[in-house]
Amino acid sequence: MKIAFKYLRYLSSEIVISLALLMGVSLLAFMLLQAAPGSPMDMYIQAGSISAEELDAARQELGVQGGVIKQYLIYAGKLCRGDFGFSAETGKPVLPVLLITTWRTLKLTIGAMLVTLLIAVPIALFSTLGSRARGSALLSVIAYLLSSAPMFWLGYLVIFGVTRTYFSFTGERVMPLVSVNPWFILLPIVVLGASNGTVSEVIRYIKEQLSRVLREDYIRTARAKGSSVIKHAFKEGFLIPVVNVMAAKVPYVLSGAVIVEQVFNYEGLGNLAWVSAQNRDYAVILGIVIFAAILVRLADLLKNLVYLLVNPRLTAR
Amino acid sequence: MRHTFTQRKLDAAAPHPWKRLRRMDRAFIVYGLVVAVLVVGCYLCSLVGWLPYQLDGMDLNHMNEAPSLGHPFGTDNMGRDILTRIIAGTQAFFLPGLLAIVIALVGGSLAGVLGGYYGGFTDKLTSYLLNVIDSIPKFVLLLLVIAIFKPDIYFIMIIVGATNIPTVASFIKGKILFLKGRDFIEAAAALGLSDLRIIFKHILYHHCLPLLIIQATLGMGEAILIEASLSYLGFGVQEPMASWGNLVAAGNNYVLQGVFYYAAFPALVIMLAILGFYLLGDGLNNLFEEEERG
Repeated sequence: MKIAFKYLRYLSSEIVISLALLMGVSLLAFMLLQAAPGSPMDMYIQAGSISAEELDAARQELGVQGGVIKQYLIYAGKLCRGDFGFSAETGKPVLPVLLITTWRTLKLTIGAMLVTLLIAVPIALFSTLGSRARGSALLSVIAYLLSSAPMFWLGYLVIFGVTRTYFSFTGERVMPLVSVNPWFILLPIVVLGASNGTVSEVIRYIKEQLSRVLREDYIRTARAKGSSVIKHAFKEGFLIPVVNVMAAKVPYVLSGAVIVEQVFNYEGLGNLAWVSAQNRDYAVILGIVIFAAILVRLADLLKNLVYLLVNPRLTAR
Repeated sequence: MRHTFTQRKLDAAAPHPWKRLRRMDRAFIVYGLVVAVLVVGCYLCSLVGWLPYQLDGMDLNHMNEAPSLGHPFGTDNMGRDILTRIIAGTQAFFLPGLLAIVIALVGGSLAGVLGGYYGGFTDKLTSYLLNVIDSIPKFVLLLLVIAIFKPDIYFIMIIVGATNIPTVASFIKGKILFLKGRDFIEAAAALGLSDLRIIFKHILYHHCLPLLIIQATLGMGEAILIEASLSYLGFGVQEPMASWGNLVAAGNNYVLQGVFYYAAFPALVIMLAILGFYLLGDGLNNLFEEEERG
């Protein structure tokens, strides 16, 4: 019971930190918006002829009267109630769209991270545990090549290959592949996982940490008394490094998702960000920034949860 | 270099870090240096106008021509030499990339010093701010800024530099915390040296320079990738100006007609250049580690 309480206290402090960070993110995005040349109201003025009274009414409705701080507080209050405002482009509420696209991006991201691990972990284990053969040098060169291949080009090659193979390709624009065959979602996942630039870093981190742990005294003891080295090194030498590096790479993967979604015409968060950046649809892009930050913070919380389960010292604070 | 007897003996006892480096790492560093020199060389050449062909020299008799002796990488859809445009394409990212690197290094060092050397409330505040930046995926923040301001490559690179501040800062902070209790810092403080002098000379210059060099190398690789990605997708550097991303984007329109080299050569150049900077960073990292081991 006491332990459960400690767990709760630790987790709740982490959650409070995450919320504070999310507030910082929304404040930063909001302040950037304030620095914009012209005002967001220009969108409405351009959209059609609008009288002064109507403009005032719109200001009232959108909560853009008063000073910057007051405006931010109004905005933050709305965010807390789940009101992300309305898209200036479609006029629809932003939140439902954000939820759908976030879910789609989440699928892409989780899949991509699994692909990254599938590539990185065997290479890291092979080059740490295996003999220092030529194979390990070759493998790490391949990992470096994958990491530095520009995703947009790799994505295009994949699309080109698939469209050539599976159906005749007539239009100028690539169709959303997922609508043709649901299994095609694997293509952006593989491209994102293989070449978002994190594979070589993940390999290096796991290798460093695992070989550091393998040099520890307790591993030598385990080896000396004939028990399994793998079992003793697993938690500190493998599980924690993997969780750590993957949580740290979530922003990078999400960042890469913007490119991959655009190349594959996959309607996720990144694609939406792209469209709304072109349309200067501020409400949508602010919402995207916040949702992306929420995903990053959630990954961090998940990491802390794993730490907690693995490392009892954390609750001793 | 001339060696005295004792020096040679010392060398025999502990060979130079370069010699102790694995062969692969040495190859990485050499390759990375070649790439860096080529990129800088191409930039300088295009700056003084030393190009094989005119940058916008259209030649409608030689459109989409396959690689030949005259045009080693072929010509594009307007008969312009692709090699020329690749060389000139370095202009699109080189200076903006340097700007991003400078911002990341200066900002990161400052934040790292504030967090590591002073500690306490400043540490809490800086790490909060850095965590806020770290919570936003880079491209999402870039798109926000593009939406708000104009898609100008210098503006984009300022943001890229700012998003790299947390990484640099965490390295510097770790290093400072590691050095803080050391005797030489205490000795410097006891000698009455000012905080600024200790920080800049004894910590940053003497102990963090390798770190900063590695981060600068990785930063240039990233600048290439981001410029190419954004230009490919339509933000970033716009058409009449040459950029590697633009070349790939334009070339992709002709892949279906069987014109492969148009997109493939610029794409390969992007890949090999990024690879070079990444390998240089990693190789230097291992070299400096060997050096530290003594």
